[in-house]
Amino acid sequence: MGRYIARRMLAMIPLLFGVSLVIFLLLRLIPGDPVLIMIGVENATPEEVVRLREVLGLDKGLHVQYLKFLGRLVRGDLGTSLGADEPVSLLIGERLPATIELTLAALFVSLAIAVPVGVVSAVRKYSALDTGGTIAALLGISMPSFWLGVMLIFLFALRLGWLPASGRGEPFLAGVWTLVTSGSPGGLFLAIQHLILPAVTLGTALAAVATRLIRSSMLEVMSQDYVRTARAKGLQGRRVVMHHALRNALIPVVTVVGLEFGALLGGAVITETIFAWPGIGRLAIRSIVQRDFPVVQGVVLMIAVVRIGANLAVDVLYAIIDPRIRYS
Amino acid sequence: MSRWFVLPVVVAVVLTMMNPAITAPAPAGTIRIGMESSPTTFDPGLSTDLYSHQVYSQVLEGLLVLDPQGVPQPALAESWTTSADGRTLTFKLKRGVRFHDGTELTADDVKFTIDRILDPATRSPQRGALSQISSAEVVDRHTVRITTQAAFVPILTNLSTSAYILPRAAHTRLGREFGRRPVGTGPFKFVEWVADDRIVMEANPDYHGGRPTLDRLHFRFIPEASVRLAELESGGLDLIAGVPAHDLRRLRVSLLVDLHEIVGTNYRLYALNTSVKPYDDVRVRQAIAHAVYKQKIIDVVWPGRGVMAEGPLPPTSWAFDERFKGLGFNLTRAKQLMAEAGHAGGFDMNLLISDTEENRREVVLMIDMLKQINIIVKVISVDFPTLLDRLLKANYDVLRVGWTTNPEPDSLLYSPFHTSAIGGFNFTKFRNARVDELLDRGRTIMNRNDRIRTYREAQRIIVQEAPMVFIFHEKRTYAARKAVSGFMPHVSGWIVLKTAYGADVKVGPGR
Repeated sequence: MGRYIARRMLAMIPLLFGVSLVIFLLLRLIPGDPVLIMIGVENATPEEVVRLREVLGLDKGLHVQYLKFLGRLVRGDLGTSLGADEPVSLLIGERLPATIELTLAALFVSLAIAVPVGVVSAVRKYSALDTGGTIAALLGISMPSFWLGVMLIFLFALRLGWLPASGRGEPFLAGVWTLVTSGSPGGLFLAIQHLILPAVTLGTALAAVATRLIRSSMLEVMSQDYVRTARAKGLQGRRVVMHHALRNALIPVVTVVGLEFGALLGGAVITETIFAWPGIGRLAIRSIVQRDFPVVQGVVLMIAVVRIGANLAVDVLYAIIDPRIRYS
Repeated sequence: MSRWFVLPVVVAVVLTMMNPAITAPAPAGTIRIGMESSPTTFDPGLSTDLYSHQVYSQVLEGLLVLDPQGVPQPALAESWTTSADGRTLTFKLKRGVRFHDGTELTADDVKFTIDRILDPATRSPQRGALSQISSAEVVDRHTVRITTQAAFVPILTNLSTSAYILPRAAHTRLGREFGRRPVGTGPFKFVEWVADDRIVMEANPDYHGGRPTLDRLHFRFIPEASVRLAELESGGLDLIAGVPAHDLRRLRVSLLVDLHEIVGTNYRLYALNTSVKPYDDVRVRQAIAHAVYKQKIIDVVWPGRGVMAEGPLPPTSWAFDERFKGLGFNLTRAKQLMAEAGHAGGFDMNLLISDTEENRREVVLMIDMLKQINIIVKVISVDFPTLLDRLLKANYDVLRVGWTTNPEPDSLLYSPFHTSAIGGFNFTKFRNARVDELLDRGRTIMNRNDRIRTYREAQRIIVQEAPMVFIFHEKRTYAARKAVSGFMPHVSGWIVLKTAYGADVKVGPGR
């Protein structure tokens, strides 16, 4: 297993080179001059533009710029933001924890909904519960997150006043830390309050997909011989469902959820914008609009690393869930 | 099974009920402000964007400060004199002003600030605004002499907006860190910045303009306009910038919230590239201007968000000419001009716009209006950086864009219309000897009334020559809870809370 993971990690390197090249070229293909946006229309004079372009190295040939970028990248340096004159790694490092926190919370929300609803729908096939679940799932898939997010804000923040409309409050882990060290739960409450609406917004679509998947996967497994055997042995219904059926039904679910984790990171861009969540999604949008090339490159590479990492984690999880799978 | 399902719901409900944060009101004296976007840096030499300005202008100050009408008033400079040739400005600094770290403000700090912006190695985007300065010299501890290459009156405005005075010692010590932990002389001291989430400041009790009434500032950055408003109305914020258009009418009569509006120093326009046929013919340009029913564009696309433009000078500019009428809607005249130019049968127009919802709606009206004079509009929609790129290369026929500057008429008119700016921001390639002469003169005469006359005449010629169709001046909108008092929108779009000239915002109890 260890060797397998090491091999996969090595395979990441050429993949990331590919990603870096594609994003580098894509950014330069779209028109728009970062220098102009930086100076601002009212201050720019043509000489000023040319001079800044030289200072920033944007006047060099594309291959020179790419090799420089690559040279720094190999040394673990993502470069410096054109706008803020700050290291890209710092800008990303400050925001990545917030995005990961939101993504994991959304994953938690979606599974907390999908697993029970999916299982019940399968066990009570064609019951009212099953039909209700199907309709809810269809709604969940169809609702765009920007709409759902705004509606949730109007209901829970503006009308009912139960939850804050935006912002992060406190980092979740910081909240846990205060609870452990000083016994005060305030920070944790603050963190969870701020997390609920964005996590539900981001997690709803995945919850819907996963519900349908768990239902069909459960239906398939429930008709397998070993489930009949388990029942024949006289095991309780609940035990059969939870221990014999669900565990096996989860294998395809793990694949999809693992892949969807990457999609959640992408979807977080929209959710972060709606809820003013201080993550890398907002950084990405701002940098694209400002044509802050180094920051966009950094964010894309970071998302690529996380996504590839998630895929690897899925493959490792297989082996744990399904003992028949062995890597060497 | 049901246990699984119920648990998260119970947790969520319990958490909402406990609710320590939302029900607890912000402490008295704290104002919570929602902005559209977060700043990039607190270093005023490294950014020109509005959002950075809104935060660093609370902590740092210039020699001068623009009052709400855009006229320079004393800030760190107590007084100033101009030499007979207009090239040398001597500033007397206020005595006993201290930076937040306790060091005293001296002429050396002023020289350091200006030299740093002018030094190409700083790569300062403010350099263009100060590029007329040839030197800044320390005369004595509290006197600075600034010399410009030629007489250049707008430098007073540019010093107010682009030269926030840095403490030499602290800036040298902190280096790049200064952009995150600024030290200034301003009414508020920096406390904390959580990236993209919030910035906190506290009152500077020793402020030379008197201690601010507010104790603390919380800036939050919420890109979605409707969410910003929801935060305001649910009590999470006290003041927001940028109100969603469809809520304006409701908020004008709201019992909870005050709406503040101001016409900015800007104009929204359709540019006609005068170096491209048929737009090189002034009759064609005038015909297009006469065919556009501006008020309809405002009513349909920008209701309550703009005032009709007669020319480039907006009503909030001190050079505004209230009696001046531009080329108004007149279809008969438009058709006549088209016929005179030999285009009675019309032509195809390539119109470049940046892809926003408002622009798309505006263009639908334009297509209809210009069809009346047989012009068939073909729309090319791109993102803003692309538009800017093509604008600067004058690689377009007609394009829709906005021009926003500081309140100085020179900034509103010089680069878009002076011949020397062709290849730069004179993107219509407009040439007019009289306009050049007037704009040059406006830079050198000191008398405000003479300047007003000069700029008004330039406006008359520009509108008549019609390199642009001026549609409207956009308003900036703010909404504040009733407990906030003393807030006045500033012509530059800045959020001004406390200044040496007298602004002082308060937050009452009743939130």
